[in-house]
Amino acid sequence: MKKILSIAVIAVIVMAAGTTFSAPPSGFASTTVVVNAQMAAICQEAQHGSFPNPITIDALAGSDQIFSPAVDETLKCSNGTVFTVKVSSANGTAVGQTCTSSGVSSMALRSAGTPGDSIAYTFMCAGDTDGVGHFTGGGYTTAKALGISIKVPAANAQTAVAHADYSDTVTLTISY
Amino acid sequence: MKRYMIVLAAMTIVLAAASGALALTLTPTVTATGTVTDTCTSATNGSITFTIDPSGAATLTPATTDAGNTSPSVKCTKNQSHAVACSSAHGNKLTIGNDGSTDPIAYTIPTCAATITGGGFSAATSIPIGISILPAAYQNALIGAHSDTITVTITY
Repeated sequence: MKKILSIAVIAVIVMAAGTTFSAPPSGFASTTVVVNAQMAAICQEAQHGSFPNPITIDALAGSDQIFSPAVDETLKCSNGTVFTVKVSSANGTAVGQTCTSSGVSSMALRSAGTPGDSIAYTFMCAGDTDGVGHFTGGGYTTAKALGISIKVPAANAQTAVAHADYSDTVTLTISY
Repeated sequence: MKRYMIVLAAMTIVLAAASGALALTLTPTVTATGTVTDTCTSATNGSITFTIDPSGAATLTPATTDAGNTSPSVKCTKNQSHAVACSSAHGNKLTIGNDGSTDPIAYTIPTCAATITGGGFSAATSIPIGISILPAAYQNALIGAHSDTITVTITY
């Protein structure tokens, strides 16, 4: 019986001591959230390009004739997006040719009334970043101009049959 | 007075033991007192993964509650209220390589609960986190992965 009593007394003392030093705990726990955002590579046409209608080709010109567009073709692309422009000619043989500052040949203006009469020309994209057809987007608030133009070599102009209905439709395909 | 009474009691016990004529029963009691501490531990980390289309004109509001994402969670003492705070590792900016400087996309953290109530340690309490990105912050951002880490701190 004495042994039991002694144990009880000790137990009470321990509990009392625990109460005395049980200050409210305080601390921090933390967890994390990892945020991963992937900036997508996107391109959209900002401005549709066109050439003056009509353009006048001088058959007597002694040099190549270069015609600038009435409105340049521009694109809005994600910043850093590298894209290429493929050119196809409705009347020429060019299909999906990479447009560069040096231009795509195998383009042709064809007479609507005399389809057998055509004038070969070159379609150029002077806005390429590296000269081999790579363009780089500058962000969605900055439209990138392709710098399109066409060139009619002097020899082609000099041998062309006079018509007022030459035309071609150029399709630009943007790959990125 | 106290000394006097103790002496008498001792004498009584001695006398009873000597005679064997009296039975003495002692019934000790023990009082047990327990205190449940107020504490928390982290349970799971969260994630927000999303794609930014720079052609958009809307404010982006991805959150841990979106499909495929995960809300962080903690385990805290039941029914105790705990303060919550969210902080970015890189000044509320998503950056390429999570380096804090390359092509920063600024954002805010509009969804971060001020407090949570603990649910006990058998069940984790989810803490939804949401961020907001204005169009001007992402329209000209470079393509590629941008990251940051948000630390959710629970005070107890």
